[in-house]
Amino acid sequence: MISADEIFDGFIGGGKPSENYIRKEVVLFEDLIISSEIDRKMTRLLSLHPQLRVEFRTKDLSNLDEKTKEALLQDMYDILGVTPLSNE
Amino acid sequence: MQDLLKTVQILREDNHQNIDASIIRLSRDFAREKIDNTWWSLSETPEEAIQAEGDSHWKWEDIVLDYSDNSLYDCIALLSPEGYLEGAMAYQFNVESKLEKGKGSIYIGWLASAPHNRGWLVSRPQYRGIGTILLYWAVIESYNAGLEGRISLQSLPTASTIRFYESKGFVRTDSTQPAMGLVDYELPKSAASAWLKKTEIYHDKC
Repeated sequence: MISADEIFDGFIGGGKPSENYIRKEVVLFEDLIISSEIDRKMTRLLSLHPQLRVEFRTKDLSNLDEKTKEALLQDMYDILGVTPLSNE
Repeated sequence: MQDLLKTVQILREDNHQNIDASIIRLSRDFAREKIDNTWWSLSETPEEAIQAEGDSHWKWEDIVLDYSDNSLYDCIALLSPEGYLEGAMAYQFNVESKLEKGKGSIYIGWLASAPHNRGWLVSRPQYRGIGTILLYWAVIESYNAGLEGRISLQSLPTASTIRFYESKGFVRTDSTQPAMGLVDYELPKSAASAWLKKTEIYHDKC
């Protein structure tokens, strides 16, 4: 049972953060073609964590089969020490 | 067709039953049709009360466009079985933590519960706690992205929002827009971890 204080029904925000708080070390992979949730998760981790290094021969991630992508994503989680929680 | 990301349970206000709802990726068409053209048509609510809501002028169609650039931005919504959007949120993954130097955080740029769920605007709100569910989604997203559950946001410091943030362990960082009365908050790793442990429904692993 959650308490009344834990219930939020309003609104938050209304804009983007100051440029001063954007992480400079984040790398954007704008040329990669993302067509699935797993593509999105992989490119997000690669962007946020520069210690993860993967070079793709193709820019279209749909050319990789699902098992390869799942194994690659799991390797990234292992390196980062993340046990992903279910949000799918 | 909308991208279904997860099925969650939301609490109906009238009978206190938990109902299955869907977290979806928000498209521009859906935002225009089911938020911008719909949310503020509240027949029983005076126009002054609507105008007093700080988000009544937000254009979610534009927000979705702004947050669909790449994998570091996302915009989601909660779809009820009745086919209404009960809340929406836009966030980005590439901001610095103000509490832990060198660490990252998710920043929630825009979050809103549908006006028909706000008890101060309508006499019979449909669902409760939609904002809480959306924030919890952001904590999971942060954790899965290797950001250890940290989320940051700006908010008006009303009595009820302060109580909510304190109950979840948010820490007030600083006020970057004092003229607008907004206050910066961040959920640190320790509080995120406590929230994740408390909410067992999400403890199943991928």
